[in-house]
Order: sequence, then C-alpha cells, then structure tokens
Amino acid sequence: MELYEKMGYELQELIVKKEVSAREVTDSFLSRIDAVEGKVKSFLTLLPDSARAQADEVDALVARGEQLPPLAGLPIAIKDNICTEGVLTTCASKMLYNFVPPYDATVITRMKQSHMPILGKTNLDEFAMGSSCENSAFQKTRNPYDLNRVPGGSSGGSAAAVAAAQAPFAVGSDTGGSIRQPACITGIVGLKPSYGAVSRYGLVAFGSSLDQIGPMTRCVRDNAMLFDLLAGPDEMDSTSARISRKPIAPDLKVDVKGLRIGLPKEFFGEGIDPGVRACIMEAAQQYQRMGAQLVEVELPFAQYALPTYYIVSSAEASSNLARFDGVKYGYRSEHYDGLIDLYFKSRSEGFGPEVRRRIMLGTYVLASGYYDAYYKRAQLMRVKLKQVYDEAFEHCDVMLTPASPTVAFRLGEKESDPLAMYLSDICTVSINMVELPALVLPCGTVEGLPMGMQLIGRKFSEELLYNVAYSFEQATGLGWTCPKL
Amino acid sequence: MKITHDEIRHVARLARIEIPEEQFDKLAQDMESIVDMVAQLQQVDLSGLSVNLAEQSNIFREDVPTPSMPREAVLQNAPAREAGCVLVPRVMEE
Repeated sequence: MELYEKMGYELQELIVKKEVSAREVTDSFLSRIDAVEGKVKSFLTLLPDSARAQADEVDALVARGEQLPPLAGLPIAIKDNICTEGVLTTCASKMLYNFVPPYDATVITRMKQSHMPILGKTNLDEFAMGSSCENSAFQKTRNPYDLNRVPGGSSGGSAAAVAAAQAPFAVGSDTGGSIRQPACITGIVGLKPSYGAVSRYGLVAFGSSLDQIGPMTRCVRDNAMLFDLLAGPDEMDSTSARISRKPIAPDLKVDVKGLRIGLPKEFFGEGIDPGVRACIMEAAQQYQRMGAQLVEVELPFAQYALPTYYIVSSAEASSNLARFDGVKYGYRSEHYDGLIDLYFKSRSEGFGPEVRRRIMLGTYVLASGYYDAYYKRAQLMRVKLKQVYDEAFEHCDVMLTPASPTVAFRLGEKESDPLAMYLSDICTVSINMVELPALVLPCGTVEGLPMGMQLIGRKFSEELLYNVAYSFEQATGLGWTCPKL
Repeated sequence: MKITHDEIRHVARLARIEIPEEQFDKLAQDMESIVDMVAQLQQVDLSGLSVNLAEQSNIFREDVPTPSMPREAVLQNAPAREAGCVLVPRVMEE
C-alpha cells in the first residue's frame, strides 16, 4: 500500500513513531499529484517547494524530540477562495487572475502553526458560484471515479483532490452546499460547520450570512481532527462564535442506541433520483439495526428554501462583489474612458457569465421597488425556516437526508440551464439559511458511482454528528476507495 | 414574470456591468426563469413574523493600537500606482 492511500490519522501515527518521515509523506502525495493531475485537474496552483520545506521542519522537530502540534506534517489542499499570503488566490476568476494576498486567512494561520504542508490551491466555480466546477475561468475539474463527470461544486477541486488521493486533507467553503454536494458525489466526508464555528477571516466573501469554511477528508476521524484545528473563536471575525469546546477526534464513539434519527419527508420527494432515495433509506435502516429509532419529521415550507436562498445569497453577493472595481487589486481593463467606464469595463470583462447573472439578480431583488417583494420576504422566510427546524428537532436528535438529488452528472449536461444547475443544491441550501451544521459521508454507490448521505444537527452539535457518522462508518466499513486513474 | 430590456439596462447600470445588446434576450430569459422561481415566496403567508436580530449582538475587541499592514504590501496588487498611491483616471470633471 502506498503512503498516499493511508488515512491522515494513520500517517500521523507513522510520523510520530518515526516509521515514516514527514518528507516521505509529502513526497508521496506530490508524486501522486504528478501521476494523476493531468486527468483530474484539481489544482490551480501547486506548491511543492514550500510543502517540502514545511515537511522538513516537522522532521527537524521529530529529530529534536519535540512535541508535535496536532496534524503536523499532514499535507492539505486549499480551495482557491481562501487567502494565502504570497500565494495566488484567484477564486477561479479572471477578476483575480493575478491577486496575491498580503495576509493569511485565519484557517491558514492555524494550519501553518500546526506545520501542515500546503500542497496547493484547488479549483472551484468562479467565486464559489456553481455546482459543477464548470464555472471556473481556468479549467474543468473531473470526477476521479468517472472522468466524463463533474466532481460537483463549488469546492469540486478540493473534493476531487481528496477523492483522488492527491491530498489527505482539504478545506472548502459552503454557502449553499459547496462542501457537501461535491463530497457526496465524490464519496468523501465533508462538514458544513454551524455558522460561526469556523472563522471566515480571509475567505473571499460570497454570502456573508451563509458562508462557512469546512474540512473535506476520506474518513470521519480525519475530518474531526481537521475540524478540531479549524474551529474556535477569532477576533478577526466578529461572527465567529465565542464558545470553547473540547477536541472531538480523540473521543469518537460508536453508539447510536436510542438516538432519534429524523427523516424529513420533504427531502425524499420529487426531484430526488429513486436510486439515491433507496441508498439513503438503506443507510437509515442500517442505523435502525444498530439501535437507533427512525422518526418521520415534517419540515413545512422546505420547498421555499431554494428561492429564499437565491434571493439572500445573490443579494449578499452583489454587495460583496461591488469591491471588485479594477482599482485596488485584480483585473483592470486596458481600454476605458474615465473612472466610471473603468468600473464598467473591468467588471464586465473580469466576471464570468454566472457571476454576472447572480450580481444582476442580487441587484434586481435589492433595487428600489422590488426590495419588499423579494429581499424582505426572503428574510422573513428565513426566520420561518428557523422555527420549522427548531420544531422538527423537538422530535429527533439528528436528521438524515440525501445530500445530492442525483449521482455526479456529465460535464456539459446542465451548463446551459442555470435553473437545472441550481436544483443540484436542493438538499443542501436550507441548512445554510438556518445556520445548522451538516455532515456528508459515503453510504454506498448508485449506478456504480459514489453516493453520500447528509446528517443535520442542532446548532453547534458537531460532536454528535461526528459520533453518528463514525458509528455508521465503523459498523458498515463503507467509505472511500482509491479510484483507478 | 416578464423582464424588459429596460429593466435589464437599469439593473446592469446599477451593478456597473455592461451587457452587450445581443445578450439581452438570453439574459432576460435566464433572469425570468430565476425570478419566477424566487417569486414563489410571494404566495406564502408570512404575516406575524419579524426579522428578529435580538440573538445577535455587536462584538467589540479592546481598542489597542497595532501596526497596520505595510503600505508596499497593500499596494502590490494595485493595477496602477504612483508615488505610493493607487492611480486612477481623473475623478473630478474639469
């Protein structure tokens, strides 16, 4: 077995016991990247030299007999909308094709403090707007289990990198499903943390009231380890939750006896592929065999989550993306007539079609005359959805749902129809609206392709989600398998 | 819901985005289908609800002076600069 096939926690043990050097671990992933990147195209920027240098530092610590910080020497891939000092951060947009941030995001600072070698920056849909990675201005990432299919999005590059064993750890961002939908259809584990659990400082903002950074890995334990590192208050993000918690990964438990698992019927209806539905129901029955109790719950108004999401996220995006004006950083048009024209030309040439469409929609719903009809109603619906979820959680401890309505679709299949693409997020968007944590983990295959399920918890109940996921993984043995590439 | 070319023109101007005339039809069509989708919200009775921000509160940090980012680090990404400033076309009309 190659080192790159081993889980992160196994590699950590090998490094601590001095059976393998951190350099060997990083080199193993770098050579795997060399071998398969031409097919998968996960990365926009590769950082072999600095990754090796970071690994060498870990080996020096080991040689001196020093205590290693958590995750030391374990390589990681970073979605390219998270700022890395001195390293291109493009958001897969022509608008930021040359942007080199002068500072690190808080999550990057934490990785560096832990001596995690950063392997590179991964592809995404431009400014994280999309569900297939096809909206990248630079390249189309492939699903490692079928190169004619998409890896999902927008964190498709991070998902593909982890699934293809190019990296044992990755981070993505999730505004409406951008960690969970790709994790689901590439057969890996991904967490959208509770809003406020992980600092957003240094994440290029899309929908500020919805965005969260989260871990993407090949198994539940690795995911919990990375979450333990990333989560926690940060004074650079005033929305980060001022709560302290103990690490989850060291105390993972296999125990679902008496656990009430809610099955919201609204998530199993129209639009969900029958094969996907059967796969999720089989997982539910597995939990029942393990001693959990299945409860049907209702989420009235759930059908309004998608329209609400597109109003709120587009409105926030149109405000957040106003900063890209060709003045202080990023793309500036070469031909313009005066300052106002510089804004028009730079923005029109710098943004791709989907980003322009969302800015237009966001501007429309915020415009005078439409604000009450759209944006204000969406805010009220968001309050309603929070009540609906609160009430459902009176009858259950976690909810189990699909995370994607279908298996990975083919490249080009939905590219020309924005609405069909938006429906890919039907299982995930409501969770961001109500600020809850949701974890996706593999639960089998459908049509020979990986499929995952989504576990939703009460706010800040990540520990319970990890234990419930870990219990399934341990009991079934289902999980990541190395794709043949 | 019908979205007119005038509306596209108005919204595009607000958003500082130029849309070529030949793309108006396609964009209007895309926007119409999206706006129809989001317009579903108008059928719902949401009376009695208010956008309650009570659970959120401002979080302040100690007001302690710390060094700012060096000017050169901030300016390195500017598309054009001169004399330690970002360079832009004339702002005031003559």
